[in-house]
Amino acid sequence: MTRILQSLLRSLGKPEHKSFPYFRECRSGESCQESSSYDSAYSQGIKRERIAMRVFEAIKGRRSIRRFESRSVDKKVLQKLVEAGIWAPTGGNAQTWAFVIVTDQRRIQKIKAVSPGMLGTPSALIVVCQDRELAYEKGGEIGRDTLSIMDAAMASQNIMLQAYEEKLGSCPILSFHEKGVQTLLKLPGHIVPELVISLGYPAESPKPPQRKFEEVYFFEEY
Amino acid sequence: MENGLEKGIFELLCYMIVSARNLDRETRMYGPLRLVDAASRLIETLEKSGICDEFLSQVRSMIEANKHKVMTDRDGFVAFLDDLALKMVGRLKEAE
Repeated sequence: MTRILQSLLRSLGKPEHKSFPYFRECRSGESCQESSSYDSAYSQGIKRERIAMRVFEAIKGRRSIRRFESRSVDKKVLQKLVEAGIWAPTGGNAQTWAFVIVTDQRRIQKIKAVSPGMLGTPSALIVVCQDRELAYEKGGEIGRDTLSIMDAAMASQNIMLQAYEEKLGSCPILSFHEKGVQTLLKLPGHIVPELVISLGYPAESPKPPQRKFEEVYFFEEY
Repeated sequence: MENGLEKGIFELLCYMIVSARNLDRETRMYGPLRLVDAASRLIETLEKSGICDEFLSQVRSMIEANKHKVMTDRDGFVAFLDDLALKMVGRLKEAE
């Protein structure tokens, strides 16, 4: 389990990124006094278990946000979210994805019109796409029909966790008209939108739906 | 489509038509959600054009406050729809 969490950490925090609040809190025990990187955390002997706990807190703290403030999100922050996305694992290291950032409000409104699952007025969107032709070329039918969707989902989770660190709310949306979004974003036919992630500063703090660990947890055997 | 009302209605129509398409493969309870959300969006469009009365604004507030229950409290969502339907009936009766 620790290994899995460590891998997730690596995918979240690139060494060149100087900010990692969860880690910084971990170092000081109270507030963040200075920035550091994930790798230097190891070099300075920070306990891995405590870093992992911060990831777990981020995982548990993220919510699907459907009400947003009107203020815009900095382009560099959005680019960082995409960077977090591409550090997700991919089946066979295919990396057949494409990410389209949308911040133009008129375009967002048009996408919203063909995305019934989009609630509220997000300041930005990241449309997570897959190159279906390339996915087939690299992974055959299972690559195109299954792995590419899983890859998009894993990248999306990275994006949403990074968004949480950036104090942004996010919500993954599957209910949209695929060809409609393709047309509005000028995507070629083989670049297929798999998930739309709405983003913005949250204007709500929803309570988490209940999780039933004991009902779904098994050890060794079902 | 510079006119706000026209634009709002057109976007609502897009929403309704795409919903009709997508509901074919979506969670059953999303049907009621999309319908009541369409009602909210229509009222919002009317509000923006200054042709909405207080009653309808209240209806929209109720929808916005309760529509998310569809994902966490299905019975509560259905009860809310019942209350909302009765609120509309009350208005219908007043208009007699």
